[in-house]
Amino acid sequence: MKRDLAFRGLWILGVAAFAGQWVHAERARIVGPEHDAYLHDVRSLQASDARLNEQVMQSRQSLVTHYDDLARTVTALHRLHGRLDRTPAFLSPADAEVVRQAAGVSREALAEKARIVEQFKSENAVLRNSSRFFPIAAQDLRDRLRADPDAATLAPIVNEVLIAVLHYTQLPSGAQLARAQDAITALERASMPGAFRDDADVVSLHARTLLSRGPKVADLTNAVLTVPTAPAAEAVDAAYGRGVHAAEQQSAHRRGFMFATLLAALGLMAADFVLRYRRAARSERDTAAKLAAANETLLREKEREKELSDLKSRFVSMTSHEFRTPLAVILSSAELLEAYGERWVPTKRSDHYGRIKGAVGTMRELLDAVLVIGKSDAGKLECKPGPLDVGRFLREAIDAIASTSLRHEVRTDIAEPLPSAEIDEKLANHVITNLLSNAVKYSPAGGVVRVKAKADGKDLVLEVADRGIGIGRADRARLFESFHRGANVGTIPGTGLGLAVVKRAVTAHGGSIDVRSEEGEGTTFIVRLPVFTGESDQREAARAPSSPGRTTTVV
Amino acid sequence: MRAEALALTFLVTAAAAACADPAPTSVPTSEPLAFVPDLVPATADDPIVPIPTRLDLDARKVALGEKLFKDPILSRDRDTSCLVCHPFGKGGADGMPKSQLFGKEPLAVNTPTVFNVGLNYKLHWNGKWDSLEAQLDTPILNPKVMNITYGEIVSRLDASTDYKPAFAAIYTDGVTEKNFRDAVATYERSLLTPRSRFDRFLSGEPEAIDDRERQGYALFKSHGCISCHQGVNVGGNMMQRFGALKDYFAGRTITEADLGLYLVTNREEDKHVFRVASLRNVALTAPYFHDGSVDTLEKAVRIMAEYQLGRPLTDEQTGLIVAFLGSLTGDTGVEGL
Repeated sequence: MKRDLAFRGLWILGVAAFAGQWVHAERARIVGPEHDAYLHDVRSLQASDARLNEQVMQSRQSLVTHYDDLARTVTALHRLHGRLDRTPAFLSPADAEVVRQAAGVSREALAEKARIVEQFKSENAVLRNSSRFFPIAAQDLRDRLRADPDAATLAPIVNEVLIAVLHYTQLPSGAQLARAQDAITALERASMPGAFRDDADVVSLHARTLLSRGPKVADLTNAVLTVPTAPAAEAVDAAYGRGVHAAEQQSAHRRGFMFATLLAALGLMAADFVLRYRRAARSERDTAAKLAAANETLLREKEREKELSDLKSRFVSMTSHEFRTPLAVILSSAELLEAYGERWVPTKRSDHYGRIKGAVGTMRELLDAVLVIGKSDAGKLECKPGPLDVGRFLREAIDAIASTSLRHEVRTDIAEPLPSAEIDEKLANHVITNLLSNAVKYSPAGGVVRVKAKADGKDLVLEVADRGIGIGRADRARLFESFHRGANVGTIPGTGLGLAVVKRAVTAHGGSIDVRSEEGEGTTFIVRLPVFTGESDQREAARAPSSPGRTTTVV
Repeated sequence: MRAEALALTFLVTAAAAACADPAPTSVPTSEPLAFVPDLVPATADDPIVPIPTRLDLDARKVALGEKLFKDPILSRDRDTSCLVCHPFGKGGADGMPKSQLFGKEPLAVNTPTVFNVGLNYKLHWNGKWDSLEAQLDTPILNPKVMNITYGEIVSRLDASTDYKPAFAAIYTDGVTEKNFRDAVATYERSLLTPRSRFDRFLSGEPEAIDDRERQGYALFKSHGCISCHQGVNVGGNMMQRFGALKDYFAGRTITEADLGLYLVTNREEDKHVFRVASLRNVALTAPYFHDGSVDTLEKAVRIMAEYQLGRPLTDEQTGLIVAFLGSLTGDTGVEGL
């Protein structure tokens, strides 16, 4: 659950990061109009600066008649610089700072240039007036002096001023300047008649103005053209260009990163959905499986309970029946003996006593079998092997059977001498007795029962075969269950315990039991019991003659 | 599942909104155009240009600016509006050598006309300001004039049921110092005096001025006045030393105001340098010069000829130039719009 939340948190975070980056990228996106406007300003800076130079030159040459256009250009440059500080938002702060710094340098250069331009305008206006007026004033004075006989000698002084100053304004040089200054000084020192005094002062004033303002205006013009506004404007252009380029790259990177984030977030989201869907499906399946298993267990338990119950009822009915029969025999024989014993011949009396004894024996066997099964079920059926002569043991068992049956032939085939064996006699007795009695019981009268015994390595292999009713296929599976009896047993009495006892005894002894049977053909049980110890086996085998003994007992 | 779907929807919507409404871009504010070219151009080589008869201004700003211009709310004591020193009936100035408001010190310099200020390149006698918006500092902050702060003005306007909505209707950010300056300056730009007789002459009406005026104009040009008093405002677009050819201040007691541009730049060469005054409506705006020391136009013209041009004028010449200057009086009744 915790991992789920972390997972979900991760992709929600991813989507949020994507959205954040998107907003950021949108803000940093190079906005066309903004870029165009700024670039236009940057370029206008250079164009306006060039125009300013041009207009100053035109003014210098008196090619323009007013300063409105020049003033407008300076105003435009100031406004451009005002706008250049508002760098577009998509520039990185560092790049924007570089651009603003370049713009600052440019602005300082412009301020310097504008200051010089103002001086130029002032001085140029004055120079312009004097250069226009001086020749007129000087010629007028000269001509009037010439016309006056008393002052005609002064005319050449004025003429020299006129020539020298004009010469200097056309071709400024140190020599011409000195000449012009000398001429003006001469004019100022000349003793002008009162009627010409003021006019001479005016000529002198404008002559000196031309000498002083001419170089000054030239210097100012030069200064205007040399203020490094153009490189500064180019630097702004270059800085802005670099900033835009960087912003473009940054934008591309950011976009890439942004979509990578989105992809990752979508991937995580898809994975989250798939995993959760799968988990849901699995848990549904699990639940169904658990239900089914529980159901099955329940059914099995119910079945088992039923089986147990069946077993119990079979046990009860079987045992009651099995006990009842011998009890009835005992009762009837006892009553007969009580009533007629005095009068009966001894043989008949002993016959009834025999019956009583037989019934008691039957009951004891029954009880033994029940006991064995009970012990086995309780895990308390012990195997306590001891030395046993297998051949003799078998023959005694066969003899015992023979005493209960009259019409069967038991053929024994014991591969003697058998090696000395360690066998639990009680368990072995359960095995052989039950197998033999079954073989006899389920064979028709006069039938042949064959008992084979041989050593196979450490195993004693014991075969009991009959040609009786056989065991059906269906019954073979449940052959060794308590109280289970074949479907074809008919009226043959039996407890359904014999083979169960055999199985348990064989198992307790560490052996195995096989059955080969066809219904109506007969049955063969093969029991293997590990009873021979290796060494004695060798010894016995060496000592014993090789031909196996073969006997037939007619019972 | 539903929570995530909601979250996703929200994010996508937010992203889409962010995309649809990008961060506001700084669109260059439209620079108020000084003027648009007139329909009838002046002759190309004329040094004087007619005042435009059309202006491209936001009429709402002009109306708001006019209201502000005429409202004493802009003075600390609510007793002085811009109009006190710039009454329209007297050519846009108050006719006093130096304005003096009730209970206050007189100002340092003569009050120039408010007419055609939008056509000036620099403002104030010493050329201190480059724009009308900036020039507002002079009257607003001056203890001798409005004696107030922009903060106070903004809070007064913001509290006003008249101004607050008027600003909000024009400016998205409502009443601010910047918007206040913009409104007043825009109104000032509208205060043009076009259609003077001389402008009509320039625009192709030879009979708009008489012979004396025409002769005065010729003299104005030939004598050299035109070297500084040129352009659309017949001045106002350059600086010049008062006493370009002859020291005007020699033998006078020099006041701080006489220092001119020096007060702005602190450069020795800028002493006594002033903005060349516009001669538009000059016949209406006596007294003259930065200190208002000259009461008639004749005297002013003579002083200019002597000190600026180094070319004294005869009485006849002075009369002709004064006659020409009279033809520069424009249509002050219609304020440019």
